[in-house]
Amino acid sequence: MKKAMKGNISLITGSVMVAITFSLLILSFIWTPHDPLEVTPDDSFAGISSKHFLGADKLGRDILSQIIVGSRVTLLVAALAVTIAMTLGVSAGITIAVASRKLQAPMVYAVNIALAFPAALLAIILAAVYGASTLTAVSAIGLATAAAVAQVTRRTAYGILASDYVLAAHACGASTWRIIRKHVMPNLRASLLIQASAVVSVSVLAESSLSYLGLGTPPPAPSWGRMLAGSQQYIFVNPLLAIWPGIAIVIVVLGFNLVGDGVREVFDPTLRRSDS
Amino acid sequence: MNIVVFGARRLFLFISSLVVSSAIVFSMLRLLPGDLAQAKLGIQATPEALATLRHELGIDRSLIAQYWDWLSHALHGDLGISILSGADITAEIAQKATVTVPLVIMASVLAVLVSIPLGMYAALRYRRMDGVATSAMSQFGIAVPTFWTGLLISTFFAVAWQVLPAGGFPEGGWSEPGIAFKSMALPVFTLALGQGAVLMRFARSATIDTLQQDYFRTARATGLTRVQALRKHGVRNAMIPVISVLGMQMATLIVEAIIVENVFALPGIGQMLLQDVNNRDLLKVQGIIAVTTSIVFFVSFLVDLVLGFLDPRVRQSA
Repeated sequence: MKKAMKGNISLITGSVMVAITFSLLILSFIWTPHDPLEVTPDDSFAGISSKHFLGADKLGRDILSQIIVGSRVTLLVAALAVTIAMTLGVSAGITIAVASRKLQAPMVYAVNIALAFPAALLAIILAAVYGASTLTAVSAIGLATAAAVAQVTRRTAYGILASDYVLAAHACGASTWRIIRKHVMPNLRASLLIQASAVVSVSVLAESSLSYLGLGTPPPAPSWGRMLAGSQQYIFVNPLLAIWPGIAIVIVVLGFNLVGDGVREVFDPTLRRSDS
Repeated sequence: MNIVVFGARRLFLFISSLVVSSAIVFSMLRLLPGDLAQAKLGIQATPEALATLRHELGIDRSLIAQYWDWLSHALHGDLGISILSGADITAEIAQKATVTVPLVIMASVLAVLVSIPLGMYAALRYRRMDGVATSAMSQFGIAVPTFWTGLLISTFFAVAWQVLPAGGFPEGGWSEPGIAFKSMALPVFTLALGQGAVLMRFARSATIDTLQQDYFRTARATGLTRVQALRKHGVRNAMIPVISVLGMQMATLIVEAIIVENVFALPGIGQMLLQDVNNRDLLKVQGIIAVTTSIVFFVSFLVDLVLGFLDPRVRQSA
């Protein structure tokens, strides 16, 4: 691990940002400067002070406390969406890769159709039918990103299945299941790690956008997207309110993107000299 | 693979995607708990009145019959009338499209025009500070949510400096071109910024790839400078991934347009869609989603055709 970190700026910066995010989450269960929902009319639009480190919103609710607690919704949605996307996507991708040629074509077609379907439209449909909730946001994001995961997994798995060591395993009489377990899965590990971090970034962005549009987790639970939506009305009064939740979102998304890039660098030595 | 066979295959994929996705959307929206007739007449309605209304709305028939009915009308450009407002859905979408379509097109063009030179610049100087800074900027651009960019941009340009309107669109639409373009400026810029950041990464890695090719070395050996050689051989090679990614990004782009419309209060398809979702005007939601997904599928079909025509390798891998 230490060796992997050395000189890998993406991985180091990314890990720090991810660590900050998880510290916020842990902190939200232990301590917040104020009750995030506590309404104190006297502090309406309070600026930065020793009482409110990042100021307060129209109702006088403490911004820092709301941001700390808001990490829960963000990370909960991301964790659930990544679970759905990886479980569905990886099993579909591997199934397609090992399926017979005749079955492959229609399955690849299905994945292609799913790929072209926009995630947020799915969330909008689900919200129209069931009413907006954390559950509709999670299902929409998870299902929509699963197609991309399936696509990448299938392509990577093809490459592995075409290798000599899989041919040798076949010759030794290994079953398909054994080949998947002993050869395909271990070699997919790096690609899966990179995809999972990409899915987390996408989910956090999607969740904040849905919350902003009022299609995510309903109030009163604080969420970064909804805080930004609320700040928009008062942008003439207190523009600072539109800054903090945005920074929080960028730290999470950038963190996971950088970790993904860093991991890619570790597993693909050809990238190490360039900085991509 | 023959270009005709390739085109026919892509056409088949395009049509089947349309049918499958519209069927899925249709059935999802019909699985709604409670029914329309009840919602319209209230809980005190007599069973007879309910049955008559259900018959009038055609919702007493089987799902497949209803879907077939909707699809055959939709193919003739008739998406029905809004259950709440009674307005013609097709006409309303067409009217709102005069805002959304120019927004998406202008933003895509701007994103392509900015991302290719910037990506090539970042590639040329990729071990120097300014090159690294350029690609760090694109990393940052990808991580910033569109609506936040919009909020910040309107804070600076509309609130602090008051040079451009923070939102809205003239009543008369494009008949007042001056005001219309002014109200479009910030939304287009916001949308292009996010897209450009994504496209720039692809332009950059395509150019880095070109720099290591033999033909590039040959061009350099004939006496061209790095920039001259890139102008001759790099631009096209950077275009191919950028165009194909733009095609794949169409879905994201339209969704971001919905968000941007809401940030800047632009009366486009996106704003209408959100209102209809809140009003549970399901037939209209269905119509809007059918139109937007058709556009997404159509653009990706076109992009594939163009790429297949330009690059024989694309035809092979299809």
